[in-house]
Amino acid sequence: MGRWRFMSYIENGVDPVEAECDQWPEDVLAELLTIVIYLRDTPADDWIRPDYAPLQGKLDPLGELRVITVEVGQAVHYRILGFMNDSALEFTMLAAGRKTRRFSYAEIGALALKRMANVKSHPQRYSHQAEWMTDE
Amino acid sequence: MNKRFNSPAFRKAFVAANVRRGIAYQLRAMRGTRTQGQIGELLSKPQNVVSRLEDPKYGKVTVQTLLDVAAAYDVALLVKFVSYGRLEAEVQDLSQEALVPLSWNAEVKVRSALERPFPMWVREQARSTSIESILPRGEIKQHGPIDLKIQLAAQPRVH
Repeated sequence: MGRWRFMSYIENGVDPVEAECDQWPEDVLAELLTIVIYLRDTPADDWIRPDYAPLQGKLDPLGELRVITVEVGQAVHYRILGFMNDSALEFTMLAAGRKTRRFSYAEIGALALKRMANVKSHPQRYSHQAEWMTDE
Repeated sequence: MNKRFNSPAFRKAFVAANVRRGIAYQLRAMRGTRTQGQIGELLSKPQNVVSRLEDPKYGKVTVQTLLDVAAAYDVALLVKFVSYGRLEAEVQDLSQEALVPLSWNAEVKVRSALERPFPMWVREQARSTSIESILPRGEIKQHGPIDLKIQLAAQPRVH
């Protein structure tokens, strides 16, 4: 098996996933980096919980990278929604969010689906390699 | 190296996350197509213990448990402190082949095969191409491609 490449959404020179992740705590980013470096050498069938989960229903074929931490005694969920391109061995990160009581899949999911459509129609324009994540 | 490593807090968190995830992903790869229940029998532990060992969030595995697992799989175990540079090198290849170590019996097979060295041209080509492309299928079937790679790497350069 080849190695997965992690791509990120970009629009008008701004990477919204990177911008969101820059706001996250360092321990969350460390978890996220280890998830990415392990998944990049892992066959798609073995992308499983708790590090990754495919989304169902209207959000199919999206999936999410998942980091769960404990902050002030409570579990806090950080998610990055994206999609796999199996033939190119690419996972494109589309939208990131911190899951709280007000976290809405409908909102972030719709945003991710819209961005996925952009990437699929103009991959060169709307995606780039996520060097900020892995330094590759 | 990722620029975030300049932060001590990030480094500390990364080391912890990597140890947890490293154990979980390696045990998952070593299990292969077997069920957690089957591995539980091998370890003489219930299935839920295997499930916990494969959980990258768990993080409370003892060295004794790791020693028990190593003994059950008949592989060696290394627990050592290293530089960040060494850690970075270690995580460069986390493919299934890299995660699954040879058992003692497989190593013995490789060592005995070493008594019949491959010709020089095979060893030279093996450095730059895939093993499958230069050796007859029967040879690969007999030893397995991973064994052969190690065997070739272990052979001294003879001119």
